[in-house]
Formats: sequence, C-alpha cells, structure tokens
Amino acid sequence: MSEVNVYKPENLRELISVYNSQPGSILFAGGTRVMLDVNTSGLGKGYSGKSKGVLQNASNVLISLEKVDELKRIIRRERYLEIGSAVTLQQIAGIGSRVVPAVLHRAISGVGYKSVRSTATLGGGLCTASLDYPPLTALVSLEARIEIRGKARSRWVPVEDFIVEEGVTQLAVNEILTRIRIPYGNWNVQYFRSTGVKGSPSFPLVNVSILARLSKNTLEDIRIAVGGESIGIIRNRKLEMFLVGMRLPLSLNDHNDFYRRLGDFLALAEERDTETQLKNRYVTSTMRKMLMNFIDNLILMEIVG
Amino acid sequence: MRIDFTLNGRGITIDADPLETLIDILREKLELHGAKRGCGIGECGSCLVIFNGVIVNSCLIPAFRLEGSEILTPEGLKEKKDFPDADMIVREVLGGRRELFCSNGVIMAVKNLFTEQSFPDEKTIREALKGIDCREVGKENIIEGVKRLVSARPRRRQLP
Repeated sequence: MSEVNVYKPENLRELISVYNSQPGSILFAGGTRVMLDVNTSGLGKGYSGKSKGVLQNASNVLISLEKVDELKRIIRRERYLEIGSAVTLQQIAGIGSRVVPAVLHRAISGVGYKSVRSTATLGGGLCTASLDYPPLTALVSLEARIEIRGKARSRWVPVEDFIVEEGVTQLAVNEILTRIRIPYGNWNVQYFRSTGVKGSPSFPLVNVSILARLSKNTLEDIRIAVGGESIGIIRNRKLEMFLVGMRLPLSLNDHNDFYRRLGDFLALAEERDTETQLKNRYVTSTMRKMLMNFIDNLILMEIVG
Repeated sequence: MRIDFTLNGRGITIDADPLETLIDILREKLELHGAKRGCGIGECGSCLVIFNGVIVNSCLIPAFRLEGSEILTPEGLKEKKDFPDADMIVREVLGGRRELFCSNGVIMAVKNLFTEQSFPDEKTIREALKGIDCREVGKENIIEGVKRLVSARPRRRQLP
C-alpha cells in the first residue's frame, strides 16, 4: 500500500456509490485508528513495510468522510438525539450534558485527550469494534440504535447487537454506519464509571453505565450495562427487574438478595472464557464493588456526572 | 499529491504522500521544528498544532486532510501577542524554560485554552492539559502556572 488514492465524496449518495465501486477501501472519518496504524508501520513516508491493523488487508483506496455533511449533523428531536457517525467526540462533548445524556457525555470525556477527541468520531470508535470502548457501554444502557446504509437498503440495529465480537461488527461488505439515535428517557440518576487501563493484561479497562428513575425513594426503573474487552457488553434484564419497585435504602434482606443475584450474574461473565478467567475475576470483582457502591449510595444521588 | 493550505497565516503549496503525517511535513519538508515528534499515538502532546481552529495531534493528521485548511504551529504562535503570549506562558508556566522538549506542546495547549475561555476554572484547566506530559516541569506546576495566568489576566472594568 505504498501508493494511496483518496476519494472525497461530497454527499451520502456519492459516498455509497464510491464505496461500492471500490471493494476493500478504507473509510476515513477522524482517522485516529488509521493513523495509528500508519505511524506504527511507517506507511506515511512511502515506506513499503508490512501493513498493520486496519490497513493489513485493505486496498490502496481511502474514502474520506470529511465532506459528507449528512454524517456530520447532530439533530435534537423531542424524543431522541441523533448524531451523525462522523461527528467528532469533542463536538458531542461540547454540546454539554443537558442535551447529551450524562452517561454518554462522561464516557466520551474519558476517551483520549481533547486533541484526540477533536479528530476522533463516534461512528469511527464504534466501527473499530472495541468492547471496552467507553461510549459503547453508555450507548447500550441508553438503548441507542444505529443506522446502517448499504447500496440498496438501510436498516436500524440496536447498538447492543452491533459488535459481534472484539474487532468484528455487523457491517456487511460495503455497508456504512450513518447515524446513532439515542432515545431520551426520564432518568434522574445517571452514573458512568471507567476503571483499569486499556490493553492491560492485569487491570483491563472496565466500564459501568447505569440509568435510574427514582420517585419518593422508590426505584421506578433502572438499566445497568457493563462492558470490557474480555467479558463483552452485558445487560441483565432479570437483575434490573429485581430492582424495579424496590424502596431505598434496601432492607437487609433485599440487600443480601441483590448481592447474591449480582454474584450469579457476574459469575456467568467470569466463566465466559476459561482462558481469561483470571483477568475476568479482576473485572467482575471491580464491577461488583462499583454496582454495590451505586446501590448503597443511590438514595443520596441526584444526577451524577 | 499537490496540497494548498494556509500555514501560520501564509498560503503555501506542497507535494506530499496522502498518508504522510502533518508532523513529518512540518519538520522535514518545511523545516519547522517547533512541534516535536513524540509518541506517534496522540498520547504525549509534544506535536500539538491548531488545525482549522481546534487543537490536534499533528502525528494523527494525514496530508490529504490539509487541503484548504489553516494550520497554526508554535512558530506562528510566537508572532501572536494577544493574552497570554508565548513569552508570558514560558515565564509563568514553564519557569522560564523555553527549550524543554515539551515546551511548545504546553504553549499550544495553554494558548488554545485561553482562546476558548477567558477565565478558565481549575477543572477546565486540568481537562485542557490532560494530554500534556512534561516530566521536567511537572503537571501540578504547569496547572499552578496557568492559574497564575488566569489571575493575572486583566478583567474588563465593570460599568457603574
């Protein structure tokens, strides 16, 4: 891939047409991931060494999304927020947590540094298919959906189902992620925490995103999503259903019952892959602490940023 | 490929490979050595430049994105005298040490911070300087220096 051809389509229709006529081409949104691969393989200077990462099996065609305005829009409707896939993380963070749900705002603010977020895009981050990508866990808790456009049709899929496994998305050949739709909910508590270090074998990155609706000390609704590279993205509706309707603070019996159910739920995550059991033991014990801490302090929380 | 863009207020034309990084273009083609080549993965902040008004890591910007853009490098910043100017940042934030590896990254980040906010609070300062790694001066000393700049900034006189 020493000679690179760059296409700069000016609208979505042109983008889809070019993408279909150039099999194996790379879509370049913010390009942070592509440029990491460029820098580590020396391709930028015309060096013809071994390509890495996303460039490994690619053709020599790059398609830049920078002129496709349809992918750079943020639209606020009464019931949802819609973010184009080529909107940068810094643009989303800049809108503020009154418009962007607080869990997503916090997750985005934790990705890289401001100078990286100025170029990295939400769609690009999702398409790299990293299960420990903090905004992914937040979007799963928000029950966001994403639009996938191909030449002949478009489809909406829950973000929870978008990443099949680490590094693999649902995108078929020449399909494009175009929009992310985030429904607004009447949540009065939003909690997002990341802990650990990306890529660390001993202390891997773990994300927890929780939305709750409290009324007169009663938990009316709750969503809990946890995510990490070795355990994937998990939501447990049974655990959420158990908590709905509970009065806070939890009685000792309810507290113990929740602790037991949480243990059962996390044990499943721990056993998911025997090769990563030890790593997962750290992950699940961290999650247990974060979730118990959340439940114990829920009554004291209003909105947690 | 042939690329036209504006660098430090002057229009220029260069020839570059589409995936050549901006940091390589600045240092090797244009002999501007203010931005330093550091980690190459957007972590260390030594290659910061202002690209179309936003602060970016020049190691992550490919040549093909430069067409029609406006770039401000540490060299261009030295000519700008609005508050705080580069000398002031060196004096207050870097303890007068201009020639450190990280100096220009710190100057770019601080300058960009004051462009975005006239009187940033501590949280904003910390957030803006998160990607700056300077072992010589130390993160806390840098933050204290920026806070001094904030308090030294002249406030507009309130009308009665």
